[in-house]
Amino acid sequence: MMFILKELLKLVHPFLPFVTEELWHQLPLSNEKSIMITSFPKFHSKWVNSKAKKEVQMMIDLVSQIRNIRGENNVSPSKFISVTIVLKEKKNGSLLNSYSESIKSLAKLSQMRWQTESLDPKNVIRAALKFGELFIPMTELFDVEEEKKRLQKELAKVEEDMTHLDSRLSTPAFVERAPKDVVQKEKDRFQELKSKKEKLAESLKKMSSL
Amino acid sequence: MTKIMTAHISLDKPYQPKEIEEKWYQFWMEEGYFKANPSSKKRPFVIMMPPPNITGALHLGHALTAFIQDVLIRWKRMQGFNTLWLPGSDHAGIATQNVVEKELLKENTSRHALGREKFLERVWKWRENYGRIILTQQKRFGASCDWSREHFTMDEQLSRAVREVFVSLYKEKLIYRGNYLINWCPRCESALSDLEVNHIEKSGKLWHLKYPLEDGSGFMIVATTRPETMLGDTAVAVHPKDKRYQSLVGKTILLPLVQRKIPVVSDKAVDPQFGTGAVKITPGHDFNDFELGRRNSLPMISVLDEKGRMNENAGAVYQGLDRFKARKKILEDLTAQALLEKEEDYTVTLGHCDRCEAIVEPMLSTQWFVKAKPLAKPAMDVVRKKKVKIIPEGWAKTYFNWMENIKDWCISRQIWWGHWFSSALWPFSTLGWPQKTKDLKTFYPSTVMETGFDILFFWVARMMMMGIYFMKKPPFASIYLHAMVRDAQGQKMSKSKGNVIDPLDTIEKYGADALRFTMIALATQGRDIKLAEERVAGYRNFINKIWNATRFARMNLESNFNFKEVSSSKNLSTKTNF
Ligand SMILES: [Zn+2]
Repeated sequence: MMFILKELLKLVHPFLPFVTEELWHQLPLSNEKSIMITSFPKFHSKWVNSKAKKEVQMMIDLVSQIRNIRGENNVSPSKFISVTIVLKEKKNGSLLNSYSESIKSLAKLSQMRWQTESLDPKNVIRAALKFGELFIPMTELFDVEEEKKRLQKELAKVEEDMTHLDSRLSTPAFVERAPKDVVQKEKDRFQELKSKKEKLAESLKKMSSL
Repeated sequence: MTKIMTAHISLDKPYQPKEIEEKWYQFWMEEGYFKANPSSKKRPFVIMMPPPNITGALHLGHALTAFIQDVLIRWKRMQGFNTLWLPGSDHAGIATQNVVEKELLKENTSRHALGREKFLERVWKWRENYGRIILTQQKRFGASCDWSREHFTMDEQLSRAVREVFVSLYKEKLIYRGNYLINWCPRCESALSDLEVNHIEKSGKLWHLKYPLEDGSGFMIVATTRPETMLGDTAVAVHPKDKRYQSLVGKTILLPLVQRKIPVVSDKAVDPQFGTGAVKITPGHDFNDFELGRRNSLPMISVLDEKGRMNENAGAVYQGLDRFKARKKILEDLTAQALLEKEEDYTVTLGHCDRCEAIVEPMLSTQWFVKAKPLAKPAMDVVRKKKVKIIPEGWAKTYFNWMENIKDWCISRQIWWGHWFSSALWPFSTLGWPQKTKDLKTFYPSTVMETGFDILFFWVARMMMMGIYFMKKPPFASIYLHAMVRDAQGQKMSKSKGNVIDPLDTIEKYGADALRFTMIALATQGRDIKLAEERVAGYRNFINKIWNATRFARMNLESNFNFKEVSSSKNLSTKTNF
């Protein structure tokens, strides 16, 4: 993503020389002293290298998958994690190696391993990639004891809400007098809470087995 | 992903162009990034900046020119070309003299009162002042031109080139002195080229004068919008097929007031439908009459002096009178003699001086001329053979049309300061010609001549003629003509209309990048560039978005991200390709 931004700044530099120069210096982009003396992106058809484009696209996919998982699990931005990638083809391994430094910086990785042998571990978060599969151990994403506590707390809250709602829905006066759509809404909410409770219980069960 | 980012975003202040622009321009200059290298092995990409006149500060039209050229130069520089963008300014002789004279007028003095030496001091002071203002403006525009090669059309090197050109054209008999009817501004006291005369329609009068036949058999009635010129009449002309006058051709008229004998002649150029079908002929003060006079071998009499007063040929009664006072007196005198048949309202087209707006008089004068035809032919050939491309293509037709009908080019100027030719020599004189310099070898011809379409003939065509003649190669590979800047309603910007948008004010308010982007975006949309301030504000917001997006991305990067590793590894080429 950063090189796209970098190429974009170069692309618009002739039109917007001042702001692009300033941003160039604000970003840790390259050794070049000025955007003015960098080389202009080559978009001539013979330069559009489909192989390069594909490679870069692969790396972007990988980084965004990792970032998504981090995001969904509330992983702190300062925390470095380790990941494993199972590749469909071995030749992509060297590709990963050549990009490893930028991937590690962009996705905040302490380690990036790859292998071609299949893997079916427990207690991991997995994500499909075009060229393989991504595995992140749950222990990398959160502190198990902390997470258990958090889940239990959340579960207790959901259960409490359900009890309240249940007693309300069992009151004949409410069901009869309240407008029909209000009653329906409360019923829906009850169903939502129910499925949430199931999910939380499932997660908690997984967590306890770690 | 979003969660990671938002956790770290703290909203910074928006983009502050003012703080940044000066800093970076200074930095670029110090690093010498604008400088061209005549010894470089890279392919050259050269633009000669159309030198702005030093008559005043730069307006939006100049800004547009600078923006387009800077985009091209920066782009080509990043593509690895050896770029030269050569800046400078034009002394604009008569025009600058006039603005200085206007200043003197405010101080209740004049050029003549000051005398030549003092006046020239004032002109040079003006040049210094406006030269500096223009330079500052160009820098604020972000123009990445090679200031070490800056030139002024009156500097020593360029004046030397002018002398060289004059002598060499004279030796080749392409310059001659001749008696010619020229446009003369009695206020500037100078000959004007056709292009320096604005033809403006005004309401005036048409007077019908009675010219008595010498034999007393009657009168011929002629119509004129300029009765004072009658003192210089040398014939009355009718159409050869006009039955009304066939019997009169060959007879003699006794010209009223001066009692000079003039013939009645016939010529096909006379329009029998105009007035009475008989016209007075003043070869000394009218372009059509001059040609007719030549065809019929008529004498040519000049009745005006250089200040527009009647001269000795007008007769003792009128000599010394200003042309408009003389007109009044002549009409009175003709009325007294019952020789004024009638007076009617009439729309006249009058030539006005482009510099001072005075009414121009066609005058006989000995002037220096360049023979244009032999120079124009090769300048047309190179465009026909596509050695020089004109963009947009439509202008090529206009170019041929003008070149085919080109008249000899009057190059003398009755001025105290300045010379002609200099701007026509710009593509090679600035590179050191007539010396055979390394710059000349590397940077001639230029790659593209980029300018407003309004000076295609004034300047571009003349550079073509001179470049081909002296350098044996056209001065540029292509000519790119851009549109004119107008206000949001499509009207020309002018001080009197109060619709002028000042480029520096706008830059102060929105930043140079916003103005650059707005004008470049508009320049791609046809002939007129209709600029409204809101547009600049809109693009300023757009720049703010780029600013925020990039800073947003930066925050997401964290502090230890370092691109060095990437740039030093082998995969750099793959990424650059992408
Ligand atoms: Zn004038």
